[in-house]
Amino acid sequence: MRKLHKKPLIMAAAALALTGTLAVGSAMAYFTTYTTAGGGVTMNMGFTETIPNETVDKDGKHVTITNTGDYDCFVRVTAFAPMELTYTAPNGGWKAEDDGYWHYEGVLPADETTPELNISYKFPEGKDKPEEFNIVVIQECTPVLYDENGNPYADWNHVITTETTEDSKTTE
Amino acid sequence: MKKKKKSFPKKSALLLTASALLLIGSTVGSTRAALTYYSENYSAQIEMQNIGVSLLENGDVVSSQDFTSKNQKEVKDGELLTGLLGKDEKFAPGKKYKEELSVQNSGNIDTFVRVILTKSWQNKEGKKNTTLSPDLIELNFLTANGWVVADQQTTDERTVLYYTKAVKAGDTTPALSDTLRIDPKIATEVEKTVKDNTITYTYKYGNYTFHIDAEVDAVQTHNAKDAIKSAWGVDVNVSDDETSLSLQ
Repeated sequence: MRKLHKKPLIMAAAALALTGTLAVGSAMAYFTTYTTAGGGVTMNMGFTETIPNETVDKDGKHVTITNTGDYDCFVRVTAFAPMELTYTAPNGGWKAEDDGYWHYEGVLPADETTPELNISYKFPEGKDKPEEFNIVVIQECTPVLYDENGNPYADWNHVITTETTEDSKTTE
Repeated sequence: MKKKKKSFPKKSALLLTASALLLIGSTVGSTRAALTYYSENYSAQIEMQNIGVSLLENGDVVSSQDFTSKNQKEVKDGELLTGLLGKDEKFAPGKKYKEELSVQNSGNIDTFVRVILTKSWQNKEGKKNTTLSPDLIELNFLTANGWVVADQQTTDERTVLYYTKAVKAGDTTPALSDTLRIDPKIATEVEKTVKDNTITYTYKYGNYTFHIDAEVDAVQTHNAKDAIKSAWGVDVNVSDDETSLSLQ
């Protein structure tokens, strides 16, 4: 039986491997490059919180709304009582809208307070007048949204902030 | 007694010879090329082929990686969105901000390029929150100018765009996007808290950072089909003159 000679075979295999390596090298030699970049912006919306401030005197209720949150919003106010109510804005800034609310005309920025909205009433007269009654003030807010051009607008259909404040008990 | 001469196996010898010839043959090409360029009377200046690519944001180079003639890398690392807001300006959900991204060929050979954009929401520690929707980060892509979105490679979080024309050395592609906008719907994603007569709305996305990462890849136009397959792992069709490509 012929003896297998390992040395020449190993040398041949090594030579073939070297040749193969050369071929692989040329196949991989493509010009490529890349670059990366990243970045972000923090929303900083935090939260929206509005607090109604009310005082009562002979002229009725004096209402202001403070945005104690981080994010700008729109606010509106309305009130309910067993008698007719009259709204006035002695310092301006409020406007009656068709939805039955008085709207603060601008955006209420964080940490700012609206001018006063006065809600006055005429106390009932006659022997059927109640001894006491409540005036319920409702204030709502919605976060400010922006259109494509950056103009602010309110969307009362989607985010309606509703809460009833019932802290007025008035007796003549 | 006569010593028997050790015979050398012919088969192995043939194999060895063939391998050696192959090895020598593989070097002939480069040797011949060297002889062709050689001249005693004239000096030839050979310009090295260098590839380079830069990412531009609103016309300014943000990042780049170019190879120099000495095959060294020149890298510029930048950050996106740094000029999005003016001084003391608050970000406004819904507003469209200018965000024009384009690619410049900053090398000296023609290239094909692609861009991979990844959108995410990250918390203060820079950790991604995958429960928040990257869909709300809206980059308006422009695809009527040579850019094409690779739908099969694109997800809600990642968008892959290919520029279908070769970018000549020094040229800049048209913008692949023009505006960035955060869907104002994020202002409706709120949690309401009522305490006494105080209402608090906490925004789900309020304290998060929207993040955009861009990777720009460039590859040579010569033998581009194989080069792109090798470098990017995708199959494309390349025109015979190697000036345009299309996705398969």
